[in-house]
Amino acid sequence: MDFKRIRYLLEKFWEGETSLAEEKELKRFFNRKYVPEEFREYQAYFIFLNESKKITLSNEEKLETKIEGITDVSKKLKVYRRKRTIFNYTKVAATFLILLVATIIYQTEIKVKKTPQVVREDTYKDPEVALAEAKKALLLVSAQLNSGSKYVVEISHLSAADKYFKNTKQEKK
Amino acid sequence: MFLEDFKNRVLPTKNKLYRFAFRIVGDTDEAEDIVQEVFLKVWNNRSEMHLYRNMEAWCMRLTKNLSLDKVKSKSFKTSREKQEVDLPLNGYSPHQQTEWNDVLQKIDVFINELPEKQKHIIQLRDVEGYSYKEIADILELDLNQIKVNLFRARKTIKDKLQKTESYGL
Repeated sequence: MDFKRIRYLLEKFWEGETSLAEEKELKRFFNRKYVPEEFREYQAYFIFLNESKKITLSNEEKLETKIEGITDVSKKLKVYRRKRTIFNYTKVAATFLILLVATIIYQTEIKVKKTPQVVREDTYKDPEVALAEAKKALLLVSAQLNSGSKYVVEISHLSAADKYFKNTKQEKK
Repeated sequence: MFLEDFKNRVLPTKNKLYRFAFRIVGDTDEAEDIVQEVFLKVWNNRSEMHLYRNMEAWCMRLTKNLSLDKVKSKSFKTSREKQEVDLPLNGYSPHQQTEWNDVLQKIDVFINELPEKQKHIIQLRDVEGYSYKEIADILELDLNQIKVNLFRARKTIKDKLQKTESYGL
C-alpha cells in the first residue's frame, strides 16, 4: 500500500479538494482491519461515514404498505377533496340563507313599527264651531275637577278643630 | 406509466431520504414520517415527474424542506434530545463495537453541532457521496458556497478529532 498517496489524499481531503473517486479511495483504505498508527487519528471519521451510509429505514414494511396505499388510494383522496369543497359551498349557502332571513325579518319589523302613525287632521271645517266645541270640552273637564273641591273645604274644618285642641292643652299646662 | 417511474426512480431513494431527514430532525419516527410525506408529494405531482431530470435531487430537496419545516414548527419540541444514531458496525467484534460506538457517537455530535448548511453538506458529500453539482441542486446554493462550507465543516471536524485524540477521550 502506498502510504505516501494516502497521506497526500488525506491532506487534500481536509482542504476540501478531493474528487469523489479519491474520497472513495480513502474510505476503502480506512475501512480495513489494520490501519497504520499515523492514520489512526482520522480512521474513526471514515468508519463513521461508511457506517452511516448503512443506516436504513427501521420499518420498511410500514412504508411499503403506506406507499401502496398512496398509489392506490390516490383516487379516494381526490374524492375526499371534492367532498371538502362541497362542504364549503354548503357553508357559504347557509350563511347567505341566514343573512337573507335576517334582512327579511328586520325589514318587516320596521314596517310594522312605522304603521301606527298619528294622523293629524282637522275634524271641523269652521274654526268658530271648533272653538265652541273646545270650550265646551274644557268646561266639562274643569267642572269635573271642581266637583271634589267641597270635600276639601270640609277637611279644612278638621285643621280648625286640631288648633282648638292644641290651645286647650297648652292652657291646662 | 407513472407507477413504474415512481417505483424505479423514486422509491429506491428511501434510505437516502431517511438518513438526510434523520440528520436534520434527529428522530427516527419523525424521519420516517418525512419520507412518507415526500413520497406522497411526489406522487401527487406525478404529472410533473418528467420535468425533473434528477428525481433524486428533487426528492432530497423536498426532504430538506419538509425536515426544516418540521424542526421549525411549534409542535416540534426543540428541547428534546436528539436520538443517538444507531450504527450497524457489522463485522466487528462486540468489544470493538462498543469501543467504536463511543467514538462514532462523538463524531455524530460533532456533525450535529455544525452550522446548518455545513451539516447538510457533510451528510450529502461525505456520507452519501453526491457531486458538488447535485448538492448545489438539492440545497439550492451555488457551487462556491458548497465548496467553502465543505472546507469549513471538514476543518472543524478535523480539529475536534485531533482534540479528542490528544485528550484520550
